[in-house]
Amino acid sequence: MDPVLPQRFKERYSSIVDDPEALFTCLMSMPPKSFRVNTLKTSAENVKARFNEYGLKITGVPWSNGAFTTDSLEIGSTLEHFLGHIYIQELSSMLPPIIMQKEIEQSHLVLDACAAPGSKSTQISAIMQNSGTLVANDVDYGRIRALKFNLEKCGVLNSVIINQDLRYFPNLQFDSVLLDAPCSAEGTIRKSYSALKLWSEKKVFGSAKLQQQLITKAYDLLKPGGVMVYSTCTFAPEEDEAIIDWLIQKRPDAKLENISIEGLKYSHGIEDWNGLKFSDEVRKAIRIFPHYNNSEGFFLAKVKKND
Amino acid sequence: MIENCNKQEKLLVLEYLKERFGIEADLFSNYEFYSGGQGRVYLAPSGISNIQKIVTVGLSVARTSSTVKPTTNFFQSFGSFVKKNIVLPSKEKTLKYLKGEDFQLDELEMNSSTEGYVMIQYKSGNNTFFLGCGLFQNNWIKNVLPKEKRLDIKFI
Ligand SMILES: C[S@@+](CC[C@H](N)C(=O)[O-])C[C@H]1O[C@@H](n2cnc3c(N)ncnc32)[C@H](O)[C@@H]1O
Repeated sequence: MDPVLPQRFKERYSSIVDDPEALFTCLMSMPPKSFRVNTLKTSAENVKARFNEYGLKITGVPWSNGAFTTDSLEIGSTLEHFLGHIYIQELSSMLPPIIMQKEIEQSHLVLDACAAPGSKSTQISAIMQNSGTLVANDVDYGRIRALKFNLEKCGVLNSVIINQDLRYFPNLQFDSVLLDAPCSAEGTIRKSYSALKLWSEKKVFGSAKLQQQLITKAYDLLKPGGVMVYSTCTFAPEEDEAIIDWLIQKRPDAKLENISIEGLKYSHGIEDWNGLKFSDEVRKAIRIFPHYNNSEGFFLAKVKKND
Repeated sequence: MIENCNKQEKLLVLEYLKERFGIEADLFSNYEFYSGGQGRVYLAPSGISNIQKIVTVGLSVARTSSTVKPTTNFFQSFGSFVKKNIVLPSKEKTLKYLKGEDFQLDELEMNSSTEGYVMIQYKSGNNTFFLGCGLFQNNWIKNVLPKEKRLDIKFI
């Protein structure tokens, strides 16, 4: 039987998206295969030339030089995949490091607080050009193996892998922090029907509790003047704007930065949800709905700790 | 447990890389060598001793026991600096290598290599690819590619 979206799911999101039917239809289709070029090992030009020789059609995206989609199911059978010249990654999952690229470039010490299996860590290290230090942490020891495998495959030299519950992370101070938080993963429904089967509002509320603790800790690990990106792959405002609002209340020196990504369609964070009113700062966060760019769903906020 | 390599272990690796592959030590001057137990030697940033609860760091360069065994990831990252003991298998044999199989080399493919660990290299048009490590013995390459890396590659 074909999976269907729960009625409650539809009710929740009809009011916060411009075209609910387009969203719901899109959620029932597979996203395109996509990958990112690993600039620690090669260049987008090289990869394009090679795939051209293979006769595998790949298409670039307007918002990044190194991101491609393809209809081919065979990118995993290329030499480039074996060598870590490309990293198979969902399009919207590439956005967190992109919106903090400038800050990462200027950082000596970067924390990827929930890093496994390493899609964004490998991307951050490439932006750092293997200099400085990237601390990649995850609480789940089982996922650390994949993190290590992917970092080494991509030729990452500047990494330190830590296996800690972020809430009890030792007190260090980082120039930049990425918190790609564990979430109810509603945005990944297209790729994985298990996310749909497991969906419940209870899960949303449970994730939000943990995210409140994670975001305050991640923020406290940030140096004054530093930037933290908070991201989730879920639509639930309880896990998105509400978490940012919580941080702003708990840490008054936290200020949101505007995000702009040329060539990408997105909408802004919402200020009202289910009778809750958030700080108008949350409008600076962005929401990627799957039907906007034929990707998965994502939420991103860029927070600066004032000096 | 990750700790700074002792001088002896670091020297053992550097001398081996220089002697067998012609790699100069100063290539690594921006990084530090670490020891991760069971003879594993890693290359990673310096100045990380204040970080607690480290599981692992950077790139595993080699494993030391009675001899030194360089890793496939090491060759993939530093292959362009390797000057000798490079073998050049045909396309067919390269595909075998990527799958994890052993194969025999002819004279030309051996490329004057001597027995021991070698780097497997593949050329296609103007591109040179550094694929990984193999053990060269009796004209054969014994495959030492880690199981999780082995792939049935169609496009090469
Ligand atoms: C969305 S996934 C991260 C994906 C990763 N950033 C990537 O791009 O490959 C969230 C991760 O958070 C980890 N996690 C969950 N609770 C955590 C905690 N309390 N401390 C640290 N990591 C945690 C999970 O194990 C999971 O790997």
